[in-house]
Amino acid sequence: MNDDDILVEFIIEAREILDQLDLDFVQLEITPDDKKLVGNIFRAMHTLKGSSGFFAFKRLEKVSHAGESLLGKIRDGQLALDKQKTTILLSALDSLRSIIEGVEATHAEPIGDDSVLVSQLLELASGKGIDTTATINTPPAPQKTAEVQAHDVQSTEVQPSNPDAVESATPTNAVTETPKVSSVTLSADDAESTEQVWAPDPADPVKNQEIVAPVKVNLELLDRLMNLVSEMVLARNRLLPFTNQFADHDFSSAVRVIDLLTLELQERMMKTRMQPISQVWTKFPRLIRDVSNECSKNVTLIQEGAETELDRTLLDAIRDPLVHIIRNSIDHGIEIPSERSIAGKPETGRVLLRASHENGMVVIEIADDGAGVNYDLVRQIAVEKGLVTLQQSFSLNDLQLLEFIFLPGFSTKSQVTNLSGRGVGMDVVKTNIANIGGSIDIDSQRGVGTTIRLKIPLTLAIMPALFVRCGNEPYAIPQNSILEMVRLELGSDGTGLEDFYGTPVFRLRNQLVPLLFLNHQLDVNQDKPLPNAVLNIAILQSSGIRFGLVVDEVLNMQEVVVKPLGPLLKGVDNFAGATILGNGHVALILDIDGMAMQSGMVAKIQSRPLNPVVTQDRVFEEEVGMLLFELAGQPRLAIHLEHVERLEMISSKQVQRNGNRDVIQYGNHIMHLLYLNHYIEGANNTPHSEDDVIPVIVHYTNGIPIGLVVSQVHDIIHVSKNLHEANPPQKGLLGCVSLNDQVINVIDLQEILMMRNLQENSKEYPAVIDMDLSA
Amino acid sequence: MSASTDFATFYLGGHYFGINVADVLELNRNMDVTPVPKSPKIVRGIMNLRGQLVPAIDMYERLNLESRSAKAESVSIILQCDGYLIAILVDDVGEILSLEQDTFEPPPSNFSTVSRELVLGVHKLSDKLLLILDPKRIDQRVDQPKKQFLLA
Repeated sequence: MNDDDILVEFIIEAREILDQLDLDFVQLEITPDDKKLVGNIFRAMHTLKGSSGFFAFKRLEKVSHAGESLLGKIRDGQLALDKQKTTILLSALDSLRSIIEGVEATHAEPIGDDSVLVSQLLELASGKGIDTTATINTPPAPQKTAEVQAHDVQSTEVQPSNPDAVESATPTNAVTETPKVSSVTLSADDAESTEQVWAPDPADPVKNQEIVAPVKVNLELLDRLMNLVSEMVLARNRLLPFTNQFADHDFSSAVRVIDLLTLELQERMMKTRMQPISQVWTKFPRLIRDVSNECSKNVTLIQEGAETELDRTLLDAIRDPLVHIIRNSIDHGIEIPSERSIAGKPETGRVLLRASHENGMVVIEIADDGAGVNYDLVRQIAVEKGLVTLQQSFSLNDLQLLEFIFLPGFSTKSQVTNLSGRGVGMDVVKTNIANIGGSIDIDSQRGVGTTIRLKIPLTLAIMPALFVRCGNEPYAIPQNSILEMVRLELGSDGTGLEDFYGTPVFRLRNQLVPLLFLNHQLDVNQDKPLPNAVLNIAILQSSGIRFGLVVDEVLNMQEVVVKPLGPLLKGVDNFAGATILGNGHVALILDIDGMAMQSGMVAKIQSRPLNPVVTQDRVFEEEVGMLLFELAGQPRLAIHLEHVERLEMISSKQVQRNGNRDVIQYGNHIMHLLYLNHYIEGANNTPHSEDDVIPVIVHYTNGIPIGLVVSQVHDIIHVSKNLHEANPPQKGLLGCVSLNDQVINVIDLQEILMMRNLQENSKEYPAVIDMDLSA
Repeated sequence: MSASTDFATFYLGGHYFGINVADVLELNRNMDVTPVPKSPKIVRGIMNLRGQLVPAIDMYERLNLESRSAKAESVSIILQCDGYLIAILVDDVGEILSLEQDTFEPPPSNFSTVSRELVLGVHKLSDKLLLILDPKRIDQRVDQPKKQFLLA
């Protein structure tokens, strides 16, 4: 091991120590009498001092030594820890951290003067108060200044305030002198929930330190191992068919063992990259303490689901957005204590962090019980900024107003503080989250609080993609850019396609959509569509433009592992990477943004908007998507698109009778079938024969699929959100909408599901609506 | 100095080439190559080497060789080059030769510029010439000038 390696080890160790110290100090403020904790902090500081001395890092050594002296006195009971001491010790930590960052960047200790800090620490250690006018300037780490974004102000500068002032100005500062706060919060909530209040049992404060130290493994090595495992899975797949061919018992059982081992290996391997979200969260107690002190607010942080795991690269990607959102919650959301008591809320505000798994995504919620978004102010600023006219602004509902928060340069803070108000922020958060394939939404109630919900994929490396064929090769399109698939039959005279200033376009539900031909884009061939041809079009969204990509054939949907193309093919902008298929073949993944840009279509469309009137109005006209379908005797029905997970065609042979229900095997689930015609008046029964193919709308309730059996599925329509109520109300129907002078009935799935449950749970419930029984 | 070096040899368009074995990772027969549309001409496509994507170099294009032989490019040689892997597609592989420094000569001046760039030198064997390639140069110069011939 050479010197550099030892230095790297030192930096890693020092960072870990500092992270742990951050936590310990905040914990210590809550439980100041915890001798064991003080002992731990003292030992950690001592270790840091020792290793700094070994490398002859004088500044590190001096600061940690001074800190150690003060801590020693506190440990021995000669001094009591108060707010002033904690603040000084924390600023010492910041100072140490920035020196370590300097060491990491240059492999040498950065130059700086810590004499003020050191003397303050030593003065405190000697039992005196400190000069209250002195300011500690921690020199920022060299590489830092460039990185710090406007919304990401790091507290590299700490100004110790007058100790008396701190005490008198914030007499209710809960974090310091009210150790009860945490337990109050705990008891206020559901005792059964798995929440972690950041104030563990004082009897066992160092429990999490006794975990066996994990081994550090290079990420590249893990990736390589992951590659090998997926290849092993492929090799296993090739091996499996031979067991039938040879019918040799010993051989078969050996292959079976390999099969099981590979499966387990793959599962374990996937887990190695997953890390608990608590890794990011450990920084937040300190953050909350600093920010809330700065705005003189009292805030407790509650964490739930800290053990939720997600991919390492994603953890890094969500750190900054989370920091920003939490700052916002405290600075904008939580009111100052006096306002809170007027509003009848406890003076201590709460910020709740909750992470959980949901449908293969990780959901992170950041909720506060603060003032909520001031919708009137948002409306006013939107008008001031000329985003909407005064008249339009009054027709906007709360949800639409919240959208403005994500616009760049939009801030409701009239004054720029070093915490927020620059108007740079939520738009960056949204972009960052979108970059990793996640989404964000806000729910805010005036006076009650704000909840921000982030949905993040479990891992970056694996994503769902649609395979299409162009020429002889399959290509993958990332699913998140696909809006829908359309089959366009051209007329015998070539009608169906129109020409818009040289760009081929077609009409989709009265909107013009520009088209790109994949074979032209990839130079596979220059074939033009023939008359009477059927075009397979994937409607994609890129750079705010909706366009159709014409492919030769639509293949299947599959989860793909994205692999980079490597340096030699960097210059090729049509592809985002490649993936390896089940048969070992390599398939390229299309870069939709790159392709749209490169084709020149984006610039063309931006200069000449295709659907000018419609696109502008859309923002303010509330529309919902509905799936149009048909039952025998009821040709025009629709269901809200949000209830539709998938559409499936199942064969009658798959349907099995289970008790009085029809079920089919669907993935890992048993899916119950619900015959919609039993619940809608006017719909007739259609017996299915053995060879029928039944269209089924798959709906998920609490993660369980239910198949809604219909006669035919037609199209997706976008209609006004406001339904005409059916008069008199009809069972199972929400109301109706009109589209192209036709009346379409919208079904009420909730009611139908309820009718079904009632019917099954109660024998007395009249069976009249079940046509099966009456027939 | 009579230090000998081991060369992996291969045939391409009737020529006999060698590459220092230290740069060669492995040989594979009949690998599946996926074409990458709009990529530089010398990149035939990418192939899957046990889960790693490796660009496959069309050596006929790279060396501006004319006339592909009948059994063109059935073998791919995986080379380790500047930290990542590339595959070169060749007609056939020969044996591994251990050659002394004294049969080595710099490339003749009548070589074209393209090949002078790639060919480190020539080993004169009893019956033929062995052209020694520099693997580090193979993936460079993606844009090709106008057609040039290996031997002028």
